[in-house]
Amino acid sequence: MLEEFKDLWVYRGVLWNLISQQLKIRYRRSTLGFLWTLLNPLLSMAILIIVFSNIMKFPQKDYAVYLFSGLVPWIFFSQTIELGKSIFIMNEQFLRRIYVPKNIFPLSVVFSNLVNFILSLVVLFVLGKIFFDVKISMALLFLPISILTLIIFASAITMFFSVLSVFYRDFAHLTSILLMLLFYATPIIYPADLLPQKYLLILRLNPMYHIIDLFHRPIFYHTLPGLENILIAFIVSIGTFVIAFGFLSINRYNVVYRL
Amino acid sequence: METLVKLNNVGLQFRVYHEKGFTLKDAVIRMLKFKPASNYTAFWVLRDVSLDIKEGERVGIVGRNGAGKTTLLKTIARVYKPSLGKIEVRGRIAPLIEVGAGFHPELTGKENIFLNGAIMGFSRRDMNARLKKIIEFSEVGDFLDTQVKYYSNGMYIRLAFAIATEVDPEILIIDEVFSGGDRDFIKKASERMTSLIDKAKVLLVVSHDEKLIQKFTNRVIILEGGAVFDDRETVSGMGVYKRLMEDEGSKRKADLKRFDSATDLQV
Repeated sequence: MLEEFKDLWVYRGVLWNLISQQLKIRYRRSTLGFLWTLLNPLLSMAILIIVFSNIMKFPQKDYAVYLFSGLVPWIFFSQTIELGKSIFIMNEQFLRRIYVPKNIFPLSVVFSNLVNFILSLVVLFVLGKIFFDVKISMALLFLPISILTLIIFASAITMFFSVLSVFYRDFAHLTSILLMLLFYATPIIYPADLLPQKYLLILRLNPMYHIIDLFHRPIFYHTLPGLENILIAFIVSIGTFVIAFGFLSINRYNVVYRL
Repeated sequence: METLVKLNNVGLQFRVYHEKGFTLKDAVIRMLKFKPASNYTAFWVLRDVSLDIKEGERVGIVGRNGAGKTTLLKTIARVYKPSLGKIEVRGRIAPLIEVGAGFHPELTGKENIFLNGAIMGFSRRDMNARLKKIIEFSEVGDFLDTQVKYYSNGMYIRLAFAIATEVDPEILIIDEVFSGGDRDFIKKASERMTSLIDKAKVLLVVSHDEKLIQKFTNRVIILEGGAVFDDRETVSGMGVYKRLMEDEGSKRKADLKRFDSATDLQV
C-alpha cells in the first residue's frame, strides 16, 4: 500500500496527462463541449422542478435553489462512478502492456469530472443569482471542505467499483441500481424534514445524507453544517478511502491478470 | 560492473479462468451451492528464473513461441508481479513491449509523446526538449496533430521507437518491434540501436531474427517452457539455440509423419 502511494507521486505526470486527456477527449468532439455537460444538470433540474414544485406541490420554499444545492454534487458523484467503474476495462490494453500505479485510473476520472463539477457549480450559481433567490453568505466559505469530502468519498467508491467490475463482469449493471437507490435514499429532490420520524435513523445511517448536507447548509440555509454531519461525513469518507486504497493496492496485480 | 537487473528464483503463475467473464451472478450461485470458487486452471509461465544482468550487457532472449519471452520482459518491466522469488531492477526502463503500449488511440501523436514521456518519468519540459528529435526520427511530422488511431502500423512503430530511444533509458527493452517496420525503418532503427549500445546501460531484446540477435547482443538466454534452458555469450549461445531448434524441427517432422500414417490407416 505504501509502495502504491509512493508510486502515485512518482507517476503524478501520468495522472496529470490522463486527466487532461479525458478532458480533451470529452470536449474535442463537439464545440459545444462544456455547454452539453452544463445542459445535463440544467435540464434534469428543470424536469424535477416542474414535477415536484409545480405538479406535486412540494411545500419547500425556493425549491429550485434547494434542488440545485444537492443535485449538482450528486451529479458529480454519480457521473464519476458511472464513468470510473469501467476505467480498468477501458484501459485494458494499457494495463496489460505497461506498468503504471493502478489508482491513477480511478483518480483521473474523479479529477477530470471535478473540473466539470466546479464549472457547473459556478455557472449555475450565477444563473441562480440572476433568476432565483440565491444568497451569498459567509457560510459559502465552507464549500471547499464540502467539495474535498465529496471528492474523497467519490474516489473511494470509484476505486471499489472499478476493481469489482474487473472481477465480476456483471457488476456494472448493478451500479446503476445501487446509485438510484442511494439517490432516492438521500434528501436531494425532497427536503429531509419531509421524512416521517421513523425513517430518521435510516437517514442518519446514510453517509451520502451527511455529505450532501455539507452542501445544503451553506448554499441553501446559509449556515454552517452541524458538527455531527461534518464529523460523520469526514470519518466515513476518509475511512472508506483508506479501505478502498488498500483494497486496490492488494489487488493491483490481480486487476491485470483478470482483465 | 554493477548489477541492474536481478532475478532470484522467479516463478510466475497464471490462472486461466474457464468462464469467459467471471460474473457476480455465478459467484452468488456458487456460494448458495457451497461450491468453492476454483474455476480456473493455474499454470506456470516462468519457472525458477534466476538472472543477473550487469551494466554493459546486451541480452538477447530467444526461445519458441510460448516459452515465456514476453512474459519475462513484462515481469522485469513490472507489468506482472512474480508469484515466487524476487526481482530487483535499478534504473529507468524504456519498455518497447508490443507495439503501441502506452499509447492512447484517442490522443494525437504529440499528446502521446508527452503521455509516454510521463510514463517513463519525464516532465513536459523534458519532453519538449526532445520533441524535435523524436519527430525527426519518427517522420510523423505531418500527422503530429492526428489521433494515433488513424496511424498506420509503421507510423506507430516509428513513433514508439523514437520516443523510447530518445529518452536515453538506462534499461531498454525491445520485443519484436522491428517485425512490423519496413526496410528503411529497420535500417534506420539498426543504426540508432548501434549508437544506443553505448548509451543504454542494459539492453534486453526478444527477437526471432537471428541476425539481429547476433548483431546487437553479447549474451543470449534461451527460454524453454518458462525456464532458462541456457545462458551464455551470443556466438556459442546461438549455436546451442540452433541445435535445439533443429532437434525440435526433426522431432516435429517425425511427429507429422506419424500423424500422416495414422490418418492413412484410418482412411
